[in-house]
Amino acid sequence: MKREQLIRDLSDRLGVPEHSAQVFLHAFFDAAKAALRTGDPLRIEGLGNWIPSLHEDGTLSSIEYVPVANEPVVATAQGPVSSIDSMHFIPAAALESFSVTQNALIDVAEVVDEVQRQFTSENGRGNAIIDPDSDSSTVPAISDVEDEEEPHHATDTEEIDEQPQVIAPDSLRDTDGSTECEADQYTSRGVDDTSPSPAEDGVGIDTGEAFNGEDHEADPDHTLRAAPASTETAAPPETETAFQDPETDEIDDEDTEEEDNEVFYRNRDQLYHPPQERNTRPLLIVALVLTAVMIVIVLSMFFGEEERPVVPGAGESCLPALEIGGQTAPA
Amino acid sequence: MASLTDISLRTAAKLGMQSAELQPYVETMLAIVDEAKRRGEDIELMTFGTLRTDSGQWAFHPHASLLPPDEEEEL
Repeated sequence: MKREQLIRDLSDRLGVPEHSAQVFLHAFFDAAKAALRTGDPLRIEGLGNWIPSLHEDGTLSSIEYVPVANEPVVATAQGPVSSIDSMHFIPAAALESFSVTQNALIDVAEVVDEVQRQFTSENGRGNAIIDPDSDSSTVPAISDVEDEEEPHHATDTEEIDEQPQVIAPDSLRDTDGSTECEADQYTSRGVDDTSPSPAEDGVGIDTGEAFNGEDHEADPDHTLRAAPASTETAAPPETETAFQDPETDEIDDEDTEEEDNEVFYRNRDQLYHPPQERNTRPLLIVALVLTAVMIVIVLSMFFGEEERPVVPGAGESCLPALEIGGQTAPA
Repeated sequence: MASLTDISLRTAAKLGMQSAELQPYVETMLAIVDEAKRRGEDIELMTFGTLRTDSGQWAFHPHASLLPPDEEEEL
């Protein structure tokens, strides 16, 4: 991918002129270069790590690049939110007890506690939440969904495939795998006729409609459509905002994008077309001329011919001429 | 250790913008680059350098402007 392609793709996806994308990309990677030149290692999630080494004089000598292959593409924080995100599903029954108004934020910790209580109460039934071995015609496994819809999150898929396809209550609070023993009691027995399927009992956490009190049992396909969206791994701090109404989010995003564009264009114009300063050349010329005049005056005072004051009548002698030796001498 | 947040902040400061205003640009750019990596394409990161796949391993080839010229080249 050449830089022109990168600029074009960024411009197309954001709906901004290519010049704006180009300005951003240049500024971004210039900042990255500046960081490396100071000797600081650079870490960009999804791109890799750069470890610079400097000469004695402080100049950059070499850069070691460590690819990001073994790291998750999107970093997830520890805690219940990331655990839910990794599982992608929470039982709908756990959400029914919440009366959430539109655009209201949900306390995720409260939801987690409710999920834990639901699992505790349904432990005897062995309620299946996610079972990739179940009938794929009705309920796609998460791995299938992600392979088709989101190849970007293959790392998360591998994590899910390695773990038992359950949500253990303790695992919602601890992601270090220390709850494997506790997880066994929640191991899925698979989807059968008596246990509700994930499509009926589970909803995607990112599906805003799931929190509006809609009956998802009446529309299981809707849940299936929502599942791929829920597989997106969101940054944990933004998870709470995912509970807002999608339509409102869309409008807000459009407004924000327009504002972003306006600010971006304004700053870009200022960056490349700074306001011209006042022309000070005439003032400079006047100052120089005055200085020269002053110098001439001072020099003329020192080296100029001295003009003697003319006294009236001083040029004409009033004394009578003297006669010396028969000659007349001037006075 | 300079992180993505640091670079975003510095970029925003360069452009006279808020970091949050540049967030869509950063996220979209990373998504594009990630997709290109998954396709196995070499990625030219403007004047920063190029990510290339050498026998299955990603390698970074810095741009000429990143490293100072060698003494031999100067001569």
